[in-house]
Amino acid sequence: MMTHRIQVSALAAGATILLSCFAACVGNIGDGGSDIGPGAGGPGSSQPGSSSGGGGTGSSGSSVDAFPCTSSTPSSASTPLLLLTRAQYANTLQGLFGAVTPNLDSALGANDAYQVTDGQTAQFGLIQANIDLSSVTNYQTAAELVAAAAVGDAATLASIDPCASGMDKRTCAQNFVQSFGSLAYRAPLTDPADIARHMALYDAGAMVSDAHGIELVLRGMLQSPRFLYRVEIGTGQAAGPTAVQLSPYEVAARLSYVLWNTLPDATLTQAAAAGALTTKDQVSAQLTRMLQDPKGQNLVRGFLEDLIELSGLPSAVKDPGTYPAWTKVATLPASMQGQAQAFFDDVLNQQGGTLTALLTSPDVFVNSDLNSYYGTTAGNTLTTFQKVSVPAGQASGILTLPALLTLMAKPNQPWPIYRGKFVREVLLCQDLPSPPPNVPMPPAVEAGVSVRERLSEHETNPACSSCHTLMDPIGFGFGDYDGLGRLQTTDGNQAIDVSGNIEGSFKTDIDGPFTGITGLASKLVGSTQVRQCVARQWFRYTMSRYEQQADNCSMKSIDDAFHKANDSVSVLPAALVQSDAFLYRSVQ
Amino acid sequence: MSNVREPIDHRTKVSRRRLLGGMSGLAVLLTSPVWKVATAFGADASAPAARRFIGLFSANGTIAAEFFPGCSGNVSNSPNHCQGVNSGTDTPLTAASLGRILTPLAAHVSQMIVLQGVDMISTVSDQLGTMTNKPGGPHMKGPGAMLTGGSLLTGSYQGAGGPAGNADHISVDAVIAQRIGTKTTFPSLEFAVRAIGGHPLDVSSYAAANQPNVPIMDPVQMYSKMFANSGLSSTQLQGLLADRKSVLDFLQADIAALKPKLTTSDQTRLEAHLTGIRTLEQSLSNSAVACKAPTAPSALDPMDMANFPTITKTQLDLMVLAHSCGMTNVSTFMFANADSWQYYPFAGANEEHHTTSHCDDHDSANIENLILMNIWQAQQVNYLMDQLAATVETDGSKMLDNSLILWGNELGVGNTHSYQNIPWVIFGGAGGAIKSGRFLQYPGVPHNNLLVSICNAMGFSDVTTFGIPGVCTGPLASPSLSG
Repeated sequence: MMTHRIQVSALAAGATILLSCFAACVGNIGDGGSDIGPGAGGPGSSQPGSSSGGGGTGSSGSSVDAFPCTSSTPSSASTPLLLLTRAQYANTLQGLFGAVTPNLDSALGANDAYQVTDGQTAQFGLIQANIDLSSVTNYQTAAELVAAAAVGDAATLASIDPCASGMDKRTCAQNFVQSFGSLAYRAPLTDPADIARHMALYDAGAMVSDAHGIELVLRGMLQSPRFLYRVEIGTGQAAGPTAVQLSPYEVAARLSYVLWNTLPDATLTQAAAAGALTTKDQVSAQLTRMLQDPKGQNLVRGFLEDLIELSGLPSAVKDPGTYPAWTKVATLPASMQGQAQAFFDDVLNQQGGTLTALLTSPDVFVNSDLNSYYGTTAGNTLTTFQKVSVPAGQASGILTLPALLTLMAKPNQPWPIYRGKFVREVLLCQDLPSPPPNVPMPPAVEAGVSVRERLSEHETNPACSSCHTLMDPIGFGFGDYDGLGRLQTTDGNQAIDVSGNIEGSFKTDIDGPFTGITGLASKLVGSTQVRQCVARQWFRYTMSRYEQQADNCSMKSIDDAFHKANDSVSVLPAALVQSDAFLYRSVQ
Repeated sequence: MSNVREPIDHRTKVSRRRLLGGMSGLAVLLTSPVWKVATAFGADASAPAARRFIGLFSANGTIAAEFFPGCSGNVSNSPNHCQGVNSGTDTPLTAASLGRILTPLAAHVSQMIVLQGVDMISTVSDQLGTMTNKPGGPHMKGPGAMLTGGSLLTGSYQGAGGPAGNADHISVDAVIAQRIGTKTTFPSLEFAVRAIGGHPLDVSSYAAANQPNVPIMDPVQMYSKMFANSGLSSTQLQGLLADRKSVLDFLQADIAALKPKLTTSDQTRLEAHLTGIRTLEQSLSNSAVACKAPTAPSALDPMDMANFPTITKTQLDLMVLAHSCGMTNVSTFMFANADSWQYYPFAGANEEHHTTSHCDDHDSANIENLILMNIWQAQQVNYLMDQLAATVETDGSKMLDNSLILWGNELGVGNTHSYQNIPWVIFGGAGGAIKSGRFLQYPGVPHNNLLVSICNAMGFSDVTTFGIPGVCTGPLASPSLSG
């Protein structure tokens, strides 16, 4: 069973829309989670009752206060047990054992709760699957491999269980349990019963040898939920009627896993031990340090990458007949990924990180694979990306990144539905209903017929139009770009009609017609709902849960800071750790 | 640790080890027919060979006109329709009578039973057998019902419709494993290729209601699981098991101490974790290995669509190896998850499976694509049958003679999401318990009856009902599997 953290308040509105959309029509939104489209699930999509946010489902987006905050005492929803992601798990082991850590790919297998099959919903950790037997078995295998490698290496063993000659081995082992255990569990290990449990394990192994005793303790620790999950219990000290403060160690772990994707370093642990992680100022001081560390430098870029599901690009499937370049140029996916990263770096480091730059910048980055996209020669090698400004209208920031447009397409054609769905779900935080169960195949690609014509049934068939009105007319605005994100001048041998519209029952603050990608981009830039959605996505990405009512004041403070900073995403890390949600959890 | 199982037949073990030890690597091993003519383990040489069960799952329905014998005249007009029968019929199955989809299996026609008119209505039935609306999208319902005769619980899984939970009954492979899998290293092994998309799409085997046996889709991981204890002496193995027991005991106490400090929903998740720990502890016995490990298969990205054919074949090789080494007598394999969106360029159909399965009956190009995808799967099934037919059991019989292989599908027809007329094929002789080489037609009977017949054929005559009680009406009769 999966556990969804859901915000129930939006359920009713979403359900009404859902019913009106249940009928068969041509095309699909990604029934079952296509590998190549946005699939069933941008952030928050297809989650029963998941929040689409204040501006979302069915009601007027612009007039409602998205984050009503009235309380003056701290308030926060609780973050559930978060299983370490595969990367966090590997990084944590690396931090504990260093180079002696064996490769665990085979032990952990592909059947992992974190396989990305469901867009940001999975990537952001918004779905926390229950551990099943196969995962438990995999963790057992991995723990045994790591423990054997650690104990088998004399230097590693001596560093985790230092024992001067003449010292009693068991006494050393108890020191090891407490010192190493507090690292592995990211919390002090002081409870006598807890220590005794670990020592019983040591004693069982020590019948063979001292080292074997240590090995069994390591196996146990590495399979303990306190290692595998991020456990947050709180201090027990009420900080108002609804919230308790997190312990300094829990805050240290939050900082570390959110910013660095690994366990806390010595500085953080010392700060926690000194009680110096209890105020927002203290936490912010750590943040500054951590963002300068190489491990923290790509934090915001990683967020932007995950927003467009960049890591999924290599598994996109393209029809070799329609797009021979995709199969012929083996480096093309990596080039598109590198291009997107170079663009994000440039926006963050050279253009102030503003939403305007992110959505409208005419700057593109080319390497030798991508010259043909823009008619440039600047990209002279595969490995370096040159910045080029293209004529207005040819590129518009994230919206025209070939990586995104390649993902938001069918194998043999650009797909306005995916593109419109991306705008609705990822940029406006609106949850579209699942496609109906029995959608016929879309009409085949034919010479002389444009994609707009192929999807015309969506306008004429009322069974289709109630939902597709939400997506197709937005997607038509992307018409200048083909299924690999290249500029095209005709579609089905016709001039391209790039008139688009934001319309339908899911209201936004930017409803109305627009022309082409620049028209869409200027609407998005001016939208409060888009800005608030980016703040929501950031919250979901870093907190691995949906924002809830108890987080309204936190969301308001994040959004205010974001807006005050000229809508710069670079300010989001500081805004997050300054929010109540980062330092508190709910009383429960 | 008195219940540690020693390899039973040392004579065959030695010869087996020699044979496998001489191979240079699994890549060679698994593509070479040499090892497959070896004697299987798992039984005393004087005892009859073990009976075995293998379940095979396919997604997105078939093209009926090219699947069921005598139906091919329909392919241009109504490819998804075959005339039904009002009462059961039993006709010989011949190579000539096979539709295009099953033609790759022609060499095994005498070991096959094709079933028509066996419906999977448990997907949409309540406990009394009345048709009702059950949780889950139409594609989601299939894998959880195919081997359980049940339907999906309520839950919050999405993907291909939804929401729904896991299946609500134990699956037939798990029932069989409970009875004949107690003396093998693994009661059962669950294989898959590219089964993704989350539960319940990627699970067909259930240890009990709401207890998925999640398949392994990475051959390297399956290999590691199969040969984890290879090369250990009996003493070493006992030490390993004792260590694991100590650690698992520790974890149970550790979880018990942590649980009260958590929220109710987190406690539930930790309880699921604990269930896994307990199950692991219960399965500590039977951990010996009868075969020497061959070299591991080379690592391939199991998520990469392009690796689908290679991983399929390697998984089927490992499956046969697991059976012939006596590691298990029960296994399942999934050709991708339900609602599969796999592309099949290697089958001459570079289209997305699920979308293609929704093509119109008159869309001859895509009907042909679907046929090609199904033919490709039949070729892989044929490969498995070839291996089983070539593997000799300790008593001299062929493994295929002792096995019962059930190949089914989540749907009968993709574009209507029909649960009627699931394309079932049974292979093997089940040790003489079933009479093969037949085409059996029924006037629309629940597949729960088929699951009862399978239990009976496996030697469990006490099984009289399976899955949802109100749906099942007893074993398949007139005609029966035993002939």
